Amino acid sequence: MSRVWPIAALVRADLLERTRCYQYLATIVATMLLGTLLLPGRGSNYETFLVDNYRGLYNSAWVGASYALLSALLLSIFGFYLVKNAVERDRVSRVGEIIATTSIDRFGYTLGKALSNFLVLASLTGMLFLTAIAMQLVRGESKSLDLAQIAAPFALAVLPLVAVVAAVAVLFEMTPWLRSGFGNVVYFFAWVTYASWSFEAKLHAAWWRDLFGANLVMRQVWAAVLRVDPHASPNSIEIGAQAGANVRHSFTFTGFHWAPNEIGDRLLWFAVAAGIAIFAALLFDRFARPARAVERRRSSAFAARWSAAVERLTTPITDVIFGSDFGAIVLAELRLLVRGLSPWWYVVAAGLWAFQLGADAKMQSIAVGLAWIWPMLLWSQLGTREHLYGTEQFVYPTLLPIRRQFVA
Amino acid sequence: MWCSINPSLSRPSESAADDGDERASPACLVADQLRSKQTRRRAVRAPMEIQIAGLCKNYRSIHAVRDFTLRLEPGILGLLGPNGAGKSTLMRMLATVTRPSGGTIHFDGTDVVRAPGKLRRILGYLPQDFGVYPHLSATEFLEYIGALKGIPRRELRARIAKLLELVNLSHAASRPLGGFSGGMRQRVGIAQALLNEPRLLIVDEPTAGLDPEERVRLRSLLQEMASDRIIIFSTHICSDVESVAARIAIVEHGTLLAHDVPSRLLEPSESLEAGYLRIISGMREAA
Repeated sequence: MSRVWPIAALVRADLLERTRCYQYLATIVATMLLGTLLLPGRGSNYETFLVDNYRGLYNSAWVGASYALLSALLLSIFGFYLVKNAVERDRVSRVGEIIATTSIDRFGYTLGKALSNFLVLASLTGMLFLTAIAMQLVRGESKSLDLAQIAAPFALAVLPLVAVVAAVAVLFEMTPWLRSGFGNVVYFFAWVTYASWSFEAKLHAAWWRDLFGANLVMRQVWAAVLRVDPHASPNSIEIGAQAGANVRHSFTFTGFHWAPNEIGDRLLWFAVAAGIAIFAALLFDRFARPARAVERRRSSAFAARWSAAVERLTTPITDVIFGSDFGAIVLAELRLLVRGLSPWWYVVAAGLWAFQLGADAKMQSIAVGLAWIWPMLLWSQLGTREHLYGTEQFVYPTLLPIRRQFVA
Repeated sequence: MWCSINPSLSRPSESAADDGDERASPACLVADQLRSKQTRRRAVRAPMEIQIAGLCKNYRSIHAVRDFTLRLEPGILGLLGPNGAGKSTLMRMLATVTRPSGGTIHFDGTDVVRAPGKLRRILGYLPQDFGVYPHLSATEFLEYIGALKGIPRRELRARIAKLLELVNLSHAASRPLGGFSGGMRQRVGIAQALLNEPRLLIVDEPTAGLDPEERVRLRSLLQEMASDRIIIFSTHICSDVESVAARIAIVEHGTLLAHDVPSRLLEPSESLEAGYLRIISGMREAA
């Protein structure tokens, strides 16, 4: 049996399932709208990419450089959360139980999911690429369109990055303690830490410190700025929205010249992504654990309590929301939140409270921040629980369910 | 021949009798295909056997399956038991989804727990509670599962078309699964279980959501397939297996209470339901 055919089929099915829903369409539209903001006009009160207050003429080379840098930043954080559901979908929908009995091995499955993640993120990259072309024409500072100059930084900076993000998303899904909301928090802090570390390196980052490809791109832009202004400071490279900057428009970036070793360095990230996917495969349990047994129990318990509370309602509709059984619904919601929680959750919560009480002024903000983040993992389920666990049919036929549940 | 044994399997519009050629019906085509493969297999293979010995599954302090020992040979095994008896856990272990806490499962001498690959190649599994990708069509979903099962692309399309006809879903082949009724989804589940012409077929509550006509069709199909395959038909509805099971196993609290051919398990002229209740209540009283 060819190993390629099952993986290709997996990627195809996964992509079709993801791209045929309205959420994907909404993501595409949102990405393109966001993309239009990445190239501000001359009258705008913000800039997105400056080198010691130099902003290049909006020609293809500059547009490609700035879009690639900003896309790398955006897709590395939002892209992760967007694709971190490929395995979860199989687990929750229980398609996984069928997949587990087929001949595909854990490496094939994991690689297929990582590839599917990559293609979803690559499609968003493609949308940003098209937006970049459109925005260059809209801004009209340079009518000469050089597709290769726009495409090259996307291909060399963004695509290797999203390959790694795609593989990391699968790794998080395969790791039991990173699968849930806690993994989302871990990724966010890991991203902030890595990004700070990477950008600290300025223009001299080794390849493994430059996942975003930012230093690779900035080195060439910086060299071009130096030719215009030998006194420019490399310490004032600004990426992201900068309000009120004193922009000098006297600079033209003529384009990238990629050395083979630079291209090789970027391609190494694809190997890293493959390595992460292989490691993730070792953690894959082939859906041996029934999906979210604890949560299902909690959801069933909630549905029963909800129905019982509503059945007891005999008060007029105007009194329904805050009627005598409103307390029962609040109690049901509260029980649902805490039912099935590990004792360790309470231990950590108590530790965070103690940390807040004992922390000095310097540590106070960290302590308060952590204490807010910890219950956030529970709160984040509130809006989607009925859909996720299929209890809509119990809950929604009741009287004013959304309004009552929202208030509760 | 199953299409003549049970004409209801072929709907009138699909019936081969319309054009005088009984073999032209999709049900007959599949049956023919199964039979010819069966003949070839008989020539080269010894009868298949699955040996379950001392099988256990514990979830912390809960013993879902305890010391379960059973030998399976070609034919339909009706696995009966009340809700929560441990049937689905047993099915999941046999289907290599869940690892047992103890005991062994051997398939033709191979330890399935240690080397599940050999069993997976010949396995068809319909879980009790399964999902589909709502934005894929029935054909796309079956192509996906077929590819994961290692069926070559060339064969897959034809096989899917036949199976969709067999489960009476040809008219909905290109519709998104999200719009399917519960019974239609169940038939997609049955089709995916049969995709690789499994020699071991495990079906957990397969008649759930099916209308009476489809239940009859499914039972007859399984009966026809059973001559050289092991089919494990788990249910808590006695009438589902009464007419088709060569052997009956009764499970409660994860333990095998009884296992035998119906004629030895039941009193003369006793229905399976009555016999099942007698055995269950007898065991409860003894306990």
